[in-house]
Amino acid sequence: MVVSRIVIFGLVLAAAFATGAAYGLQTMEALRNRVKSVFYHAYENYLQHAFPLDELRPLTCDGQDTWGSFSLTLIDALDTLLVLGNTSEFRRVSHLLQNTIDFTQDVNVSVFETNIRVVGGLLSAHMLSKMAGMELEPDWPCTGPLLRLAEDAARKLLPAFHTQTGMPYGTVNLLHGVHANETPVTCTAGVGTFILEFATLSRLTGDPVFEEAARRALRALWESRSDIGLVGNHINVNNSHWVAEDAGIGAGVDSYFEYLLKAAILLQEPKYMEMFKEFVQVIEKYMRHDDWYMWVQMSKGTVSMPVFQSLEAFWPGLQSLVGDIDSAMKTLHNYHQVWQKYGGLPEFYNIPHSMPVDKREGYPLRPELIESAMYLYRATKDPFLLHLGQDVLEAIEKISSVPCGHATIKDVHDHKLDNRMESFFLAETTKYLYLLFDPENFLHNAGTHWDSVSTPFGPCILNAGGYVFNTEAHPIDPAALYCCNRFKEEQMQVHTQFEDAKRSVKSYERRPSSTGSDDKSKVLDSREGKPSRKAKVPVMSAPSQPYTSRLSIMGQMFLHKDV
Amino acid sequence: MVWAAARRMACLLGAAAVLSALLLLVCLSSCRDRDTVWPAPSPTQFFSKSSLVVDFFLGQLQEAEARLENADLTMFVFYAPWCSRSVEARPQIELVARALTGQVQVIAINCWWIRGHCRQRMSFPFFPAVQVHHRVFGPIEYRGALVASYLQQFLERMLSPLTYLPNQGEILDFLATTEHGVLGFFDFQGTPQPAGFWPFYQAALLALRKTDILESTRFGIVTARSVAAEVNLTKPGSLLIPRHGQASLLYPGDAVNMTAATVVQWMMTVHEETLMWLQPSGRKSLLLNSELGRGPALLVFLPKVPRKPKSVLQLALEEIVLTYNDCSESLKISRLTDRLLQMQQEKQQTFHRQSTPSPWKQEACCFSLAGARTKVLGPVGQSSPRTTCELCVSAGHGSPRCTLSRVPVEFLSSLMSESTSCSSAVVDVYSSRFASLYAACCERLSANDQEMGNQTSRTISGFLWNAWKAGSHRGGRKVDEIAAVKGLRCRTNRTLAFFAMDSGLHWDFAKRLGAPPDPRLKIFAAIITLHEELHHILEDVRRDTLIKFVVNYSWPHSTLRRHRRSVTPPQHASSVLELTADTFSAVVLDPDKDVLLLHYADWCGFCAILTHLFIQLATQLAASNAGIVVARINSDINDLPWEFVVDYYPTLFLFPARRKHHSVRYPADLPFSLPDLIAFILEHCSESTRQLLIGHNCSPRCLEQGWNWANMQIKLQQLQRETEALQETNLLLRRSKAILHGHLSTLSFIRQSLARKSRWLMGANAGLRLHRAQIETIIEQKHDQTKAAEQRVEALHLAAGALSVENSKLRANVRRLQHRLRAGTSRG
Repeated sequence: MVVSRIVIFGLVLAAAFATGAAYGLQTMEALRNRVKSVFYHAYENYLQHAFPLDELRPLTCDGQDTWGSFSLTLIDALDTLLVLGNTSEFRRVSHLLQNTIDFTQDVNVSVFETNIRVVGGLLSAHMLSKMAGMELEPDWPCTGPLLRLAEDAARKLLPAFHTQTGMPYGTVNLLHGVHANETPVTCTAGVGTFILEFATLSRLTGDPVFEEAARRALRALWESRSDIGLVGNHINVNNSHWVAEDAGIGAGVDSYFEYLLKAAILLQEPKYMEMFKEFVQVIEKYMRHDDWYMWVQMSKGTVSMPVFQSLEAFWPGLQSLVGDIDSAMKTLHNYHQVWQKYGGLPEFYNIPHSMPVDKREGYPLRPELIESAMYLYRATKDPFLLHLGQDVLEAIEKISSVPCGHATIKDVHDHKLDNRMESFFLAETTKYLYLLFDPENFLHNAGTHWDSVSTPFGPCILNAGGYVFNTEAHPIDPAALYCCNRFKEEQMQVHTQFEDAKRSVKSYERRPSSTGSDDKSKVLDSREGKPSRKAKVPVMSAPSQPYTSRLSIMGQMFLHKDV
Repeated sequence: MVWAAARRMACLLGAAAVLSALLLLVCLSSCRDRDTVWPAPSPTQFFSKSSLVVDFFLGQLQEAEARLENADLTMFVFYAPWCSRSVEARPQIELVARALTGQVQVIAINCWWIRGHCRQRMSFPFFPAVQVHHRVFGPIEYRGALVASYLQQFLERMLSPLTYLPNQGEILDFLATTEHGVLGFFDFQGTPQPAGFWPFYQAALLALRKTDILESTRFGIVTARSVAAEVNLTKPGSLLIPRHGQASLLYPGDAVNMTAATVVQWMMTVHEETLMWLQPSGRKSLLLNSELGRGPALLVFLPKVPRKPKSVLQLALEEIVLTYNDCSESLKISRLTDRLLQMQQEKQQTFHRQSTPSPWKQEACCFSLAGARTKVLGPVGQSSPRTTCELCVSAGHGSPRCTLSRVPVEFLSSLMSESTSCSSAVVDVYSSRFASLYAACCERLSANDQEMGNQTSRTISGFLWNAWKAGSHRGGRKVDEIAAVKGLRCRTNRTLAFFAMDSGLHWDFAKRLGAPPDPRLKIFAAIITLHEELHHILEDVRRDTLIKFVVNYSWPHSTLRRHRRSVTPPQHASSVLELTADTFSAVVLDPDKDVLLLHYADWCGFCAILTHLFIQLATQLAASNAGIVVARINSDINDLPWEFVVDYYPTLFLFPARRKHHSVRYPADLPFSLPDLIAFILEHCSESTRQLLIGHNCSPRCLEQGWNWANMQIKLQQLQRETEALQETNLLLRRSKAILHGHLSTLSFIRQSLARKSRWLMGANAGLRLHRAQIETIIEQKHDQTKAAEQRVEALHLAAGALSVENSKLRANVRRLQHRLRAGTSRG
């Protein structure tokens, strides 16, 4: 007895000697506060020097219009305010935007950017307005001033979709529609990055025109893939001919893949999941080399550019959603190595030469790396990811901070600064950083709390989690779509189900479901031509993680014998 | 550029010029807005001025290199000011610089500044990079943890890479406490630099460059022929790797042809596997994959404190490892393990008495010949095993420092054998012309000194004597405990490999295996078998429990149970019950309940999207009061028994009441929608539940009621949680909850009976209404009959009137006829 007590004392002593217990990491609260001050430094300077223009120019302390003329940075930053817990400012800005934004102006805008930043931002703010304590219209979330604004903006984009293929033009004039001499060449992402916002809009408002346009564009793009199943970089929207045949997961293509997967999830659409899976297969086959992803020729699959692009860093985050976590971590470690070398991710990084590509050495404070870190931290709780977040935060504070905001890094070699602060810095970079350091944030809600709205068919659950982020980090509440769209129908069905059951109490037979997606998935199955005998794994599912995943932290990787 | 140039100019010009420059600037910036670019600002001091680190924040590599000659060891820290790891390392490096003042000079260089010399010449894949320059051997890269104690140990090893072993006792301690060791025997009697010594010294430095097993290799040097002979080193210049389990190995080559590289190469090929410290670097690596992947492994997490004596537990662990591998019952090993056990006991004793400062910690008995730098002293009187002597080091410019803090074992024996003479006081000397001159020496004690020495010895002796006695006393008992692992390696077919990790740096791994997140003592052990995908854990790690743990595992039918993670989810109010591995069977296998169970994972996109749907479902089902449980479990962090493990998420199961073995999986091709889920439940749930569900066909209005009911339930749950938090009010609240429940059920009972009554009343009412209607009809009929009768009377009356008129007419006619008759008869 005595001995064991002594042993314990001895251990106390030994433990007291151990230095660096919380090894090199600040507390989460301290990190959150640092992110907050980064955000507010940029935000307040925007309001002071640039509003109502689109963007802040942090070196000259003024503003400029970039993607249109609708206070883009403010729209984009709106939901980040709520993420940071600032409900009063959220309410103030919401009212301000309702009164000031006007989309009836003679200005040419990028269809893609306006959709993800403006429509996405407004939709998200609309869906979160209950949480921010705003006054709501009786039919909210199916109506509301911000929703009308979003719808207004989206309607101005619709003329771009009137093409032979259904794929949209890249640019549209908000007043006059598509210019007569508009080029029909659009990048892949510019075709395939609408379904989240447009489907949300359609399902909230009940007007199917948006969702149909987005679906049509997606279908056209799917049918234009090459024989080996790849899509190129730019396409002619009038005849579906590829103009740039580089296939990769970065610039020009990235969010197309993202939206296929996220649409499959948000809309519970197995068809899109099948597409995504097929793309993943060819991406892994042709593009992946040593956990890097390179650019290949779309019809042959040969490497055309051994380059890593800063934009590609979103991929590991996407992989985590479908349970490909091991592979995601390996890739993220590679990307982090580049960060450690330069304190930023150059737009293009030559993999074999291990250096940034000439003229592409800038880092406009992009969010993709940190976005992936956030998703993967949710999955693994690996402290490495917090270290990564701390690395990014430190570099942003030290390198990009100027008296009037945070400036784009023009060259990662010498950290020259450019006179620009893109709106995604406030919409995404700071948001994902904060979310990484705040695992209890409402956007990480996994059903631990929720809210409801009353409808004629009973109360409908809202804000229960499962938020789907659009490619500009604007969260979409799937429950809001459900409440405005399927809820009524399903309640009626359930009602009749019980009625039927009551009538034939003795021999109850399960009534086949009447949802359309079920049939569509069958169609796709038959196309594959081989009905699987073994226990079928649903398309809409993710594999459970191997035993070794619990030790796969702090850079430790495990090799798996693939089945 | 424009800005910077303008700013610089403004500084040079006078006040008037400032104005014009600014005007120019405004013009320029407004004309060339789009091209405004700022160069990165010039760097500033990174390390604080008060620290002992020389900071070349402008990247002056040349200047830094010029200082190399100033010290034997120079540590270069290449940093980038924007790098958070450089910021983290900064205080640690300042600590080291302070601790090793005068021995190591620490120089920090900003190797990022684009115009700095360093950036132009060197390129690093990450920051900070640490290089230690040895004045003679050049740079060695440091790859270990950037923690002061680790760094300092590394530097100290570079300062004195060889451990001097003057006698048998020291060798024993050296072997017992070193995971991997090499012994070299060099005779300094004839020459200050015997053949082979230089490569041996170099090899010791070279080994420091490695991060793997060689990093923990220690190099011992023996200079006395008699001592060397005891470890089978006969020829000067020969090297030996003492191996515990197998025969020790002599370096095959000749001392003359020996090079550092060949020595290191030789060590790599023949090293023996014992306890291995795993030090994941934080970078992408396959370390655990390759080490744990080879077979079952015991992984012990304990605080590793570089530069401090080993902890009791660490000594015990090393003892267990040695004993485990001792298949041949070799004398060598038992001597080592005895020594390890003894050291554990000493430490315990030390600790026991730590309140009284132990005299021998004060290093009082250090007698050095400070001036003997170049003099090689021959041994005075052939060294006997009883020699008590202290080793002193004169480290060049510094003051003499005593490196030995422990009294050799022989000291004890000498005390015990009552020959307490401390007179023959010299062992040996080794010196080298590299680095600062190390002169180890002892001098004959003068009478005065001797007295002092004796005094010290006596204090020590009394104390140590007790320790020794206690040690040998306990020594008898230890056989019982540890005998079970003796040579176990060769007796079991579940052979273990032994690993240790510094819990100060790598506790995250322990947490992943099931250790508490933030315990008072970070000590934990696990046996991991990767290929079987399971592990066992030991939380209370002591010598005896550890032995038992190893023994239990080695049995063919191990009694150890697989550890299953069970993570308590964040508390929340929801109609969906959140399960853990611990609560799983109690809920899911409850024979009286139908249980709908969703397996999910936090990261799974397809799962998160269903959250609102399941809450909706659970709420509506709860409203029906059918007693069906809607539950979910995060199977990514909760390990379930094999039969319940799922391959993919989301997976939904229904466990029907009383037929738990007939659990049904939700069809793979069915989408998750409310009607489909309800249909699935209705089809597979138990009959009683189904009746209840159907009986409670819910209209939207009833849904509203159900909603309120569910809300009430949630409030109750919240109440329950508060109860748990406040132990004082616990009982009270629970009672009130029970009362509330009672009320609820009475209420619902009353509601039901009311409903029943009202139904009955309705029935009765309807009957009455019917009755009334009947009566009313009867009345009406009667009324009609009366009316008809009246009419008939009227008609009769009318008929009577008509008849009387007829009658009078007839009567008049008769009268007229009579009259006519009468008139006729009268005429006629």
